[in-house]
Amino acid sequence: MRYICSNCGYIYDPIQGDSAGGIPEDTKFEDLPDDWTCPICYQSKSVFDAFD
Amino acid sequence: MEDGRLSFEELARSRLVLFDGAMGTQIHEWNLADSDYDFKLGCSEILNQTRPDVIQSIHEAYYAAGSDVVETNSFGSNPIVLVEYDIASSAYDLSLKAAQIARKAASIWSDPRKCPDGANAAKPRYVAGSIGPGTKLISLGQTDWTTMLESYKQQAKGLLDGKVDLFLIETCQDPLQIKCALNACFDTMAAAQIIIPVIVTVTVETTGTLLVGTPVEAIVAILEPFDIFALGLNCATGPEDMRNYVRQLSQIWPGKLLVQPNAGLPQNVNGQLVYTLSIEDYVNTMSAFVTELGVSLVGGCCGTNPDFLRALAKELPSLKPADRTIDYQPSVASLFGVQTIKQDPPAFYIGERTNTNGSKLFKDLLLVDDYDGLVEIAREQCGTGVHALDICVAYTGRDEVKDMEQALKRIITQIDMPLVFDSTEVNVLEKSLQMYGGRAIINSINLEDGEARVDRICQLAKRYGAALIALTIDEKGMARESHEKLAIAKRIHEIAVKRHGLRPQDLIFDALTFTLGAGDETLRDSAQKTIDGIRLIKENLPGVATVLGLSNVSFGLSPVSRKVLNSVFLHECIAAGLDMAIVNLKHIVPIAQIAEEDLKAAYRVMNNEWLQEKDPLFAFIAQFEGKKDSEPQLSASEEANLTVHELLTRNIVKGSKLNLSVNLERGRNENLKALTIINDTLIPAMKIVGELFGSGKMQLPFVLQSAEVMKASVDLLQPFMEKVEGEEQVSIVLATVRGDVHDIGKNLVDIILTNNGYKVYNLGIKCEIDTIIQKAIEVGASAIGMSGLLVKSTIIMKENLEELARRKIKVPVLLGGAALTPSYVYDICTPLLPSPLVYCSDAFEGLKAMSLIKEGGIAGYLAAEASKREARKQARPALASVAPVEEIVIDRTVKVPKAPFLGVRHVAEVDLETVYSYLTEEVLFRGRWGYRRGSMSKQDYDEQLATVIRPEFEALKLDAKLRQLIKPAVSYGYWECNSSGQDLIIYDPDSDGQLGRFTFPRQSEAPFQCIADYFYSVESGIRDVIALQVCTVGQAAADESARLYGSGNYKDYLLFHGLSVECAEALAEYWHRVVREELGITSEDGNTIQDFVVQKYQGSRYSFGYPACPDLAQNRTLCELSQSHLIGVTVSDEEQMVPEQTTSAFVVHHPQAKYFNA
Repeated sequence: MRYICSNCGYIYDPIQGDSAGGIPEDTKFEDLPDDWTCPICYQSKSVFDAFD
Repeated sequence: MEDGRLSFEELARSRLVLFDGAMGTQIHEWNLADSDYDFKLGCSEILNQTRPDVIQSIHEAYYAAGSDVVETNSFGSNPIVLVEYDIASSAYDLSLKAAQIARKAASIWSDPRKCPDGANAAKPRYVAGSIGPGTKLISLGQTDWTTMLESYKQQAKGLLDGKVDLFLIETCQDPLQIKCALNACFDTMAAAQIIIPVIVTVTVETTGTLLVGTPVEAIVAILEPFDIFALGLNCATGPEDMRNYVRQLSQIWPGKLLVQPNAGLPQNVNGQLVYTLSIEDYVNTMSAFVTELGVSLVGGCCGTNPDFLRALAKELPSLKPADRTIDYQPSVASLFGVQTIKQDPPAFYIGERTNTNGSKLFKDLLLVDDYDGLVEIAREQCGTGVHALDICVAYTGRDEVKDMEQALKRIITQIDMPLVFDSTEVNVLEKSLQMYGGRAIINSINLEDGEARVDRICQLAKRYGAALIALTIDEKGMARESHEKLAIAKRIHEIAVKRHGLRPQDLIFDALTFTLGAGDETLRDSAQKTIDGIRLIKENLPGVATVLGLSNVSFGLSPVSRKVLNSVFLHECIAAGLDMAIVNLKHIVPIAQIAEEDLKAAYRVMNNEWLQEKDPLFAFIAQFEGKKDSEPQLSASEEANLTVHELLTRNIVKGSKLNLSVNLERGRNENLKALTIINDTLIPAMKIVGELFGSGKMQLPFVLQSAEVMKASVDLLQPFMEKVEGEEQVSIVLATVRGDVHDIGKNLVDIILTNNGYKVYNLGIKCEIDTIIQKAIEVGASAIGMSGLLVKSTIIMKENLEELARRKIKVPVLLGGAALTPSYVYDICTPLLPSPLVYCSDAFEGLKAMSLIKEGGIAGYLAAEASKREARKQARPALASVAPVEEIVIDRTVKVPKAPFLGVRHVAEVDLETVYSYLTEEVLFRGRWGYRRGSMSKQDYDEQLATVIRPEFEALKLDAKLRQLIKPAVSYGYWECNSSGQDLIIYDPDSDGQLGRFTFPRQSEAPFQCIADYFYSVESGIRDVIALQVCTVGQAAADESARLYGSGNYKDYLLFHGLSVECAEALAEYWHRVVREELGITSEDGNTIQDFVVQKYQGSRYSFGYPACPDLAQNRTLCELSQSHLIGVTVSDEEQMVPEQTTSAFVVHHPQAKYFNA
């Protein structure tokens, strides 16, 4: 499931991961490290909300 | 008037009539000097005095194009508008001149000897006196009826004295404003003893309603009672977008139709409005309006010019207007909706609970001035199946006018049901009608005290276009016999119709209900006589409607039997022709659901049938002896069974102020101490709210609604609180840290803690650690809370913790803020502070921490959390490492775009709708507002979006626009520049010297990026370009946020603040797009806002304070270069921009420039 950053609107897609943040493809949102932040606005994981 | 010609009315009845096109657009073409406006820029009406030649030539150009009618240049020539230019006293003169100029043009083009295009082009020409909507929305209370009426009268008198052929009340946005302008015209004509036709055109926005929210069918219901020659649409959109509304009008408006569209929807091109409709499309659609929808008066509005009208004039002679089939049903309306008086199936139900005689609760709330509570009752009633609400605030000893004013002020804009104004006082009724844009029903008149009062109220109904309930009571009293009921109805009908010009369809007769339950011998047949009376009135007075106050019939009987008798009586009345009933629908059941024996007993008592000498009333009572209502309890009686504790808990958890003061009063009457109520009931209720929030079952706006109820409760209990000596309240010092102005998060914590019994010392924003420490020592605080939104604030918090440790302040510290992560707090910050440190992801986490501190369990809790975190860390498999970071090779062949200008420009007015279109709605809803989906299913969330969030969003946007709370403005510009190492040198466009310099950090690890790298260097010999922009939504937004917070409207505060912040972001995104357009670098642009979020465009927009350029101090340079003070933006000593809802940025065009963490 994708998650949206409620601070800036960036959508984390587990299929793509987040290469800038060192997150490989096929990483579930739940498995992101606690200190992972939004690649666009640098807010913490807790501001993300289930998207679809 | 030119002699011997047809009147306008005769002309319009004989053929199609061509009006003119835009006035404003034509004036604009003249490029007049400021001196022509007498330096009152934007005041077109002043030109009637300074440049009558210009105005006359515009009129003449339209006559030359073939227009039969031109509109005077008097759109805003009334005191309400002109006062903004300090020339309110010129209203009459400017209106008079406007009419005279047009009249002069008309006489030239009517006269075969004078007509510039030759005798053949001469024909009778007409002048319409234009009356615009003004600048104040009366329905929203921005002005009042008396002021507006007086203002319009001056305008109307000027126009009438200048001999216009008709009044055109145009571009209307608010039905109450229309009613006011109509009355000004009618009053002026009556005084001058001249009658000319009046036409009204309204502006339907793309939302399908007028600006205040009124749909087309409600407009017709509201205006149909008035003597209006034609109704139509103008402005707002192009003709194609009007088609549906024109069709609606064509089907229901009984008079003629006028349509004057804009030349298409205005497109915003670089802050300029441009109209894009082709003449051919205009003519084709307008022709279709005539031939398909029967429009017979045509013209144009903004963006149309004489070429449009000339093309249409050519077409008109060949067009045959369609025959219209008009089906108008007499109706009443609110600002937002309409109800036909004859409902199918019958009847039209009028709710009786918003009435001091109909509801004890309503009366109790009124007696404690709880006007908001009255609105809640109104709202609750709306969902019960009624079609209108009866509003009565009469109570002996109270100021009924004031009470009505206070109640209506709230109800009119919040309740979408039509209203029935129920009072015996003429001045109360008149005040109500002067506040109400909808079509009301007046309740009521009768002949008990003769005809004088009936005359007065009939005049009111006529003047304000209301319907009127008339009771069959005369000087001898209430009519009991059916023929008496008819006789009185006929007499009132005669007075209303013949004497006052009301129509039969405006009248609603009440044949009176008497009670059967008291056993009064003389009333045994009264139900039957009432039914006969209804039948007689309907047969003898065609067109009128009938109404009945129903429940009286069963007064004195048991509740369960009342329901049956009421229902049977209603059923029979409807069969006899009853149209409306004033009733509590909870007390009505379908006849089919009543047991046969019950039904028979009810019919016998209603028909007074004595079977074997048995009294039908006694039989009826016996029939229901001992019977209980088997249906779910009525809410009123249900409430009576709940304890005070349960009632108050419900108030808090549901966020409802309904009955709040009454429930609290009840609690105190049960000898509960104020403090006991707070501690044992209200705080535990807030705890439930917190748990619901924590488990994702309740969203932030609803939490705040609960907090508002909590605050209101504590305020009400405050006078009864006893000071408890010696007992220490647990307290916290709360602050947004140095360099950060964002206080919404901190304020939410304040709201939640305060309303849970903690003492909060809220030190505000940009708070130095010294101030925090001083306050904490001074008040002996139990905890310190630090908050901040910026990434930079997390660093400040860390420094503050070090300072606390250094000064040996040993209180627990709570940290909150969107940029914090648990690992930052626990792994990096915790070791710095000897006392407990808690990460709070939201306000309720803060509450939990405070309660742990109060009970002494904080250390144990933190230790347990720490070991849990440790366990999780170990359990998680390490993530596969990604490919090593590649080196970035910066393309040095990039072409430097050409700046459209060098230096600064200010855009003081940016179209708010365009800004709205750049809003990231997901962020607003989920982030700013806290409508998080959490564990909800997508389907449930989508439904909430559609039914709750979006309606709130739309209403708020509209409100912000109407009340001008969000006023977007931009200062921006382009400069030549070159990099020099990690610096960027900005050149002065005038002297070519160095104007300013930015310094950017370089990444300490690969790929070692620095923003300066993305510009050509001094050494390259190529001048690069940078754009700077400062975008604000203005001080009004900050003021409104502060006002809402200060007045305890927490939810509104959250919603409005969030919208204003997101608008500042949207404006930045929009302006970045404008900059890309001006630089000609839009080829990589994505199509949606979502694309822009992830930088799908060429280059990047950076703001100081973010990781690639964290030094906030350089924002001062940015603002100085952009001269942001000219749009009201200043930089505080803490390097923060004021007002808060402001963003600044610099735009880098290099395609490789993207966000990174330096």
